[in-house]
Amino acid sequence: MSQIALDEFHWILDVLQSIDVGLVVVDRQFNIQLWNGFMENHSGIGFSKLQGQGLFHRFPALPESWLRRKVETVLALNSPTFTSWEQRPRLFNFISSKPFTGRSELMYQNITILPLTSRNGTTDHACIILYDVTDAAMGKLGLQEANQQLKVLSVTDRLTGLFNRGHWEECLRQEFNRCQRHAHSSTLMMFDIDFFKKINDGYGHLAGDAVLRRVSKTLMQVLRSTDVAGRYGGEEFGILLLDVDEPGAMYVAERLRIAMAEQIVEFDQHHICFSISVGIARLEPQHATASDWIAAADAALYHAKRNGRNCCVLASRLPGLLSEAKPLPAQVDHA
Amino acid sequence: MAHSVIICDDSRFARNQLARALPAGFARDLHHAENGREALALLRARRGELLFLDLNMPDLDGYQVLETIRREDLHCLVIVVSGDIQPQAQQRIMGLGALAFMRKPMEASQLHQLLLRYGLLSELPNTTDPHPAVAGPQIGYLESLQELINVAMGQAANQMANLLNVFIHLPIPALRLCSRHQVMTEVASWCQSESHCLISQGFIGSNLAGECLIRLDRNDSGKILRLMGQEEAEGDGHEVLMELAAMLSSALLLGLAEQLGFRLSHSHPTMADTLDERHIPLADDHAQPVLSVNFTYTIPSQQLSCDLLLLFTEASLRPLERRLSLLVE
Repeated sequence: MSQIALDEFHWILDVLQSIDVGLVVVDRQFNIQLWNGFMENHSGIGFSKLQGQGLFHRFPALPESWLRRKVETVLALNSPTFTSWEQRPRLFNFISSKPFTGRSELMYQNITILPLTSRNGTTDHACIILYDVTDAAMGKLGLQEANQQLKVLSVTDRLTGLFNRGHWEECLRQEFNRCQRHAHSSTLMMFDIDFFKKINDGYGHLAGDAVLRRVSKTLMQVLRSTDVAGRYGGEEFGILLLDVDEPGAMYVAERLRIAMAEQIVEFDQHHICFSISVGIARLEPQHATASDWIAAADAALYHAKRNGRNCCVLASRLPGLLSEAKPLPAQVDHA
Repeated sequence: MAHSVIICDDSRFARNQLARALPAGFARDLHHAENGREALALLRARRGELLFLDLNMPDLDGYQVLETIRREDLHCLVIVVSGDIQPQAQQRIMGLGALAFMRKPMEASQLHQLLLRYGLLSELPNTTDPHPAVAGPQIGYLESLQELINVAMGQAANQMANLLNVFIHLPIPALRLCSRHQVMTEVASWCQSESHCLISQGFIGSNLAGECLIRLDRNDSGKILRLMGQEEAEGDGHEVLMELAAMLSSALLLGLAEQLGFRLSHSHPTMADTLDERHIPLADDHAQPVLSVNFTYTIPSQQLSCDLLLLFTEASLRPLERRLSLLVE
């Protein structure tokens, strides 16, 4: 070799040795023929200790049958193959190159396997190229996680963990449409916390928040997984009971009312008790829109309030128009 | 011709290294001083004619010792031995009356040449002669590592000094073994500040692994560009911070690897400032410790500073200890 060619050869070796990419060359018998600096440093084993040795013998944790199949295909077809971290997170179990600030303990790797042709034209070696893609993988996984969280946040009420009003109304609309198509019926329950303003005024808004959280927790315990609960307003909640008739809904509502009345919220050395009033409306043919359905349940709730609170009222049992209901004695201010 | 010699260095590792490198029979008396104050006390008591002086020490540094020697007209020859290899540091110490400067890590043959040149030695000693080992307590590996890091830190600072054409004040690095929880709490607190950016470069090889973290003030990017003689940056100026951080961490890691006789792969440096409490592992009293090295470079003339945190994983401590114990022997 000429001096220039030797120099070039030296540089190329230097590049292969120090490049921040793993390079492994194996022959058809999977004996290691090249193991660059990246592989030495990440595996902790120098090339001199591996040269000519069986890859699977020295690295028994490797997915042998998978890698054999890949390399044999590459050599047979004389064409490269690629594997992304998304299919297989890694080939070698190396630790992450950022062992402190990295999000992953182990390195994510993209793998390319190339056929190598010798001077006599036969393809009898394969080069396994290993790219450290931990940062990219963590970025993508982080983005997916963030999107998932955003999705949860966009439908959830922060304080109670129930669906927020927008999402709950959307569920109600879908159920309304489904019932219209399939001619069956579900029941809607609206309830609110009695004298909630007094709790807020008497113990402060943080106490009010604690009560709201307790209501949502109790709600989750009483409801079935198919029921759809949302926070409709400040202290008003809506529950969609799928494929439940009025007697069934009344049964659930009573259980819920009793469960709430039994709660004691301890807050700042106070013991706070509360009750709820419930209005129940089955979807009826005269409900032209989902809003009509809500209005019916709201009317029943209004009636429950006027009936002295801590009770459940069915919309179908309302005595006709609300104006016909017995009015509560008006509070007269004799100032 | 035997001399009374004082070796002044805060690192016991460095003092022993120098004592071993002295030609046999060179020192009639050999005194060790841990800081500038002790060295001056020995000089005032006329206990030394030749002083080997480190620059970066707590409790009177090398510059202050040189100033005091001149002011009090103390009689002695001073050879400065330092990891601070910035040209300005050398100019300063020569200006303060030092006889010569020797860079760390020091080699015995260089020391002998120097002594010969200044007539302190009549002929070069036969270096194949086994020098009697210096008796003394065993030096812990952290103490040895501290000295290696001092030297690597000096080399990295020299590169930065050349790049920015400034003088950099070298600190004394703080080494500590602590839990991953503690380290990550500190790193997360580094990320709290909006005005700072954190750049991380990972390293691995020879069974060592870890990260070098560098914290720079985003608002300094313009200042750094001007020092480098470049125009105002396009974009947010982060490129120049990344360039400086990568240069520093690479130089530091290379300097350390070279002294240890290790080869290390460096990963691509990246911004690591999205860390928060979620990435702090839970405190675990039984967890193995990690090693953290912390120091701050300052450029007094520009009111610039730059924090470095060099972290070694739990699994790195044994290989590091084994290697350093070989170096001390």
